[in-house]
Amino acid sequence: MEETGNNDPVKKEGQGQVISLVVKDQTGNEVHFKVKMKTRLEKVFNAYCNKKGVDTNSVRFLFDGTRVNGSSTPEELGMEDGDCIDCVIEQVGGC
Amino acid sequence: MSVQDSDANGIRELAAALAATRLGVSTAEAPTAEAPATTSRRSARLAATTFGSSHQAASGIAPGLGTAFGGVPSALAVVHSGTPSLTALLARRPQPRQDDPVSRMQAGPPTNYQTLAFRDLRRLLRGEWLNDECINFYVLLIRKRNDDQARAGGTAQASASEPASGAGCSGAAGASGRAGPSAAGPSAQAPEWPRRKCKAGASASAEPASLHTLAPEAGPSWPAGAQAQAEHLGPRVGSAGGLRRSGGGGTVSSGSGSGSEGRAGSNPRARPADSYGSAPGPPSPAPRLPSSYVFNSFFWSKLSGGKRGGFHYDEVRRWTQPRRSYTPDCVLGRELLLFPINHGNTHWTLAAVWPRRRLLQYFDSLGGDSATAAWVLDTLLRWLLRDAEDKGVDLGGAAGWRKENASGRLPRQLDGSSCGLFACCFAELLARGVEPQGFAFAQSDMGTIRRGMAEQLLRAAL
Repeated sequence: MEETGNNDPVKKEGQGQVISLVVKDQTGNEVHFKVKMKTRLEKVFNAYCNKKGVDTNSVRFLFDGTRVNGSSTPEELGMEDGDCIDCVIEQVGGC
Repeated sequence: MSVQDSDANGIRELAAALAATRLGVSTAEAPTAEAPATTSRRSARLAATTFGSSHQAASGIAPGLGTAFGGVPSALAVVHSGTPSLTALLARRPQPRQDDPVSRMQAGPPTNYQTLAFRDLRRLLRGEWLNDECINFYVLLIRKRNDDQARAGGTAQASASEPASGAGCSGAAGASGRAGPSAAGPSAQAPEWPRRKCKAGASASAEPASLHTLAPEAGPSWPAGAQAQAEHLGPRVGSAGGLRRSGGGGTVSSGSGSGSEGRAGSNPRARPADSYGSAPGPPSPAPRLPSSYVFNSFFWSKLSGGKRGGFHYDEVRRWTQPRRSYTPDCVLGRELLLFPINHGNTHWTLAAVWPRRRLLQYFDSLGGDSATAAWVLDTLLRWLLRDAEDKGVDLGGAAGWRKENASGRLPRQLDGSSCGLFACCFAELLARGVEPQGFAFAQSDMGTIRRGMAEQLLRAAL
């Protein structure tokens, strides 16, 4: 996995071996990652949190509306090149 | 449902906290019942739930947990009914393997996944504000219960094993069957979870065509069920600490008011064997819960962008694809869609959409202002119509939708910390087919509901 920086065009490599994933936060900022199909996504998440300087416990990652298990891989989730993962922050409420 | 991670210390602490609230949990035994040798890497995370094609009852949570309690939230009933000791649940919990601390025992697709951490559960017990983890975990449990029930109903229909409830059962199964492609019974064929991507643009052709037809509902009526529930409700509510309010009987009476809608109010939840404790009432006719889909609380944030007037359909466009929502049928084909909504990180409310009744409802435990309700309902209706168009579902046009701000008729929140609980209770009761006027709980029950919910969540997480 290697990070390619903001909004860089990402070349597709190989035949489905490496895909590019976009992690998008709630303000629309995007970070692109190149990920192997068998890479655990928690590597992506940790890299993203490190880059953004946020606590892993305060953000949640959603792929098409469902939470992503960090131990699953793009292959298991049926991800494709250019797919977008939403990063949302914790919500609280009481009154 | 699976244990993803566990932390013996956290469980011990929570068991102690639950015991301190007189839930009958034995703290002396709880730690010894488990204590995995392998300490987890991420100690903060308690567990994760995931469910999908194969619903294994590994967690020991009854699918019909507390549903025999009329208009009372099950969390309230859990505390008062004889619940199995947490120790036994802990003992049954799958042990993580030595070589693999993050054991992967997922049964279904690797999604519909929701984590729950100790600090989230502690919020419940300490009377703090709830965060999205608690809310989303709880609504996933609701969804799982209704999904399980729909499967069970399909099986019962296929085998025609319950002659006593023949009419109601066939109506129920027929109604749900029309909504989905697997009319022969969703449970008979194990749903296959395709890994293949279905791009949004091609969804209409790539998915089974029968997904997208919504037959008008021939509502099953429940005269006998309502009666049975009235009998069933009596001793239960009495045993739950005298919490019956004037609205308690509304669950029964509302059925006739809404005419052909059938499901309204009278949800004859049966299967006492599935619920905790011994149900003293006579076995009711076939249970029927509205087929429901519960979105997580981020749906609204994504759709609205957090601003009035915001409408970002593209953000949530793919959320309702069957392959992405991991439902065998189309989300819009469900009878009830539930949306927990967080307002500005301060307040939880709930919106409900009944596509076949052409009804949108908004539930605010604080009453709220009508402008907010109108905003939420307008946005949701706009989303619904747009999504129906996108997915090729015929919802019968844009006219004739009723938008109802039910906030005035609800149990009212009187403190500044329990709106999340109210929203969960509303969601749970709606998913059990209880009409708003039948919501039989109040602010004074919130302490009990907190404990009950904590126990439900903990039990499910284990």
